[in-house]
Amino acid sequence: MTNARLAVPAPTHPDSPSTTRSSARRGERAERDAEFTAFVTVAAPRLRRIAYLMCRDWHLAQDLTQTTFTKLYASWGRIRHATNLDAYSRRVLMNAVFDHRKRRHTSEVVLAELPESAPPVRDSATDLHVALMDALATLPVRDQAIVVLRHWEDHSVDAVSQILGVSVSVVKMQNARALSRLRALLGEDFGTA
Amino acid sequence: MDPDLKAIFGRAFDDEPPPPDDLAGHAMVAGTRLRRRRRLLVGGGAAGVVATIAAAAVTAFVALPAAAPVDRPSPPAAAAELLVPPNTSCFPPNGRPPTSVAIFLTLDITDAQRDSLRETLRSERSLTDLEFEGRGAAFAKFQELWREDPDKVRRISESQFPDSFHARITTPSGYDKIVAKLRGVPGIEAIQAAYCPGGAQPGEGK
Repeated sequence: MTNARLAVPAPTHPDSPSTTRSSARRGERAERDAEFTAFVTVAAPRLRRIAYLMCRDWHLAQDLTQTTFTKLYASWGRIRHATNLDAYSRRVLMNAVFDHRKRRHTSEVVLAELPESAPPVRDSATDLHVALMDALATLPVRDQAIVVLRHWEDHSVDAVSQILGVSVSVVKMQNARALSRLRALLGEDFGTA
Repeated sequence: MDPDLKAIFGRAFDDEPPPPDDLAGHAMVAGTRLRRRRRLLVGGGAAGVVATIAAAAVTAFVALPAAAPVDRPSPPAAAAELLVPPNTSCFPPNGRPPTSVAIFLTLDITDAQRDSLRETLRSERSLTDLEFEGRGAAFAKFQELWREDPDKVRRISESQFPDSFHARITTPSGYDKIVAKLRGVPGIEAIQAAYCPGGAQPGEGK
């Protein structure tokens, strides 16, 4: 029980430097954790939506978001004052998405050939977003990331290139390629809605 | 560039679920473990410790009807310390079929009750890789995990840790079957599920 008293911020005694030091460290940690919690509160909804657009599964989107914050907290002391925390958190999230794809592809066993399915019939613009998500899913994963970061999140080409760690010209090229692919898949609906 | 695209994406979130509870709290505990593991790896520290460092996985306890009178010990606070995602490959099931289960025993379980429970679990066909973890091992793990936070380690003693069984679930309905089967069985404090895609086990570090 006597040990529990250490948990209370003790008055400073010159002869008990360790107590002082440990309570100072505790205060610092509490402050750091409060900062982290505030960051999570603000950033989580947006990160989860990005993840959802990448994987179309809210459970998985939640897991990927959690993985992202776990990794961010593991390095929080180093990154908390970074000016580009938003970009950094998106990079960590996208890496989690890429990792997950890679793991899924190596662990999946193809049991049978899937039947060729006809393109789904759509009768109105109400499910244009479904068509867009279907079309997005046919793109290579990095192109998907570029489209989501650029056109859902409104990041500049420069920002996207930093987040994904690829050159500006690659972002421009792949973005153009992805958009024309989406246009081709969505037909006339796209760009007029 | 394409303002329409953003508007269309914006309609994709119709079925967005509410935000989870305490995301930051889970991330802080799991992140602390991750940092420790990294440090051990960097330092070339005991690889064995790294592999076993993460504890049971997570999620809300399944409360079982009390088989004993109400005065039995409440779920040990100590065990709660281990009930968070231990690594980045296991998650709360959130409605998915759990792939792993942990069964925490009451502090006052008798040897006979524990042996009987072990037999029940061993004969359950939807479980595999059954392992027992004694409170000593659980406490050692806890101490190792929280070595940087001596105040926390001091507050909790070995006697507050429960023994537990851990197993992998082999069928989608396996978890529900176990919970049903164990209802009313004496000596069980709580049952906990985890979802580990890709066949990872809670406790396996990444």
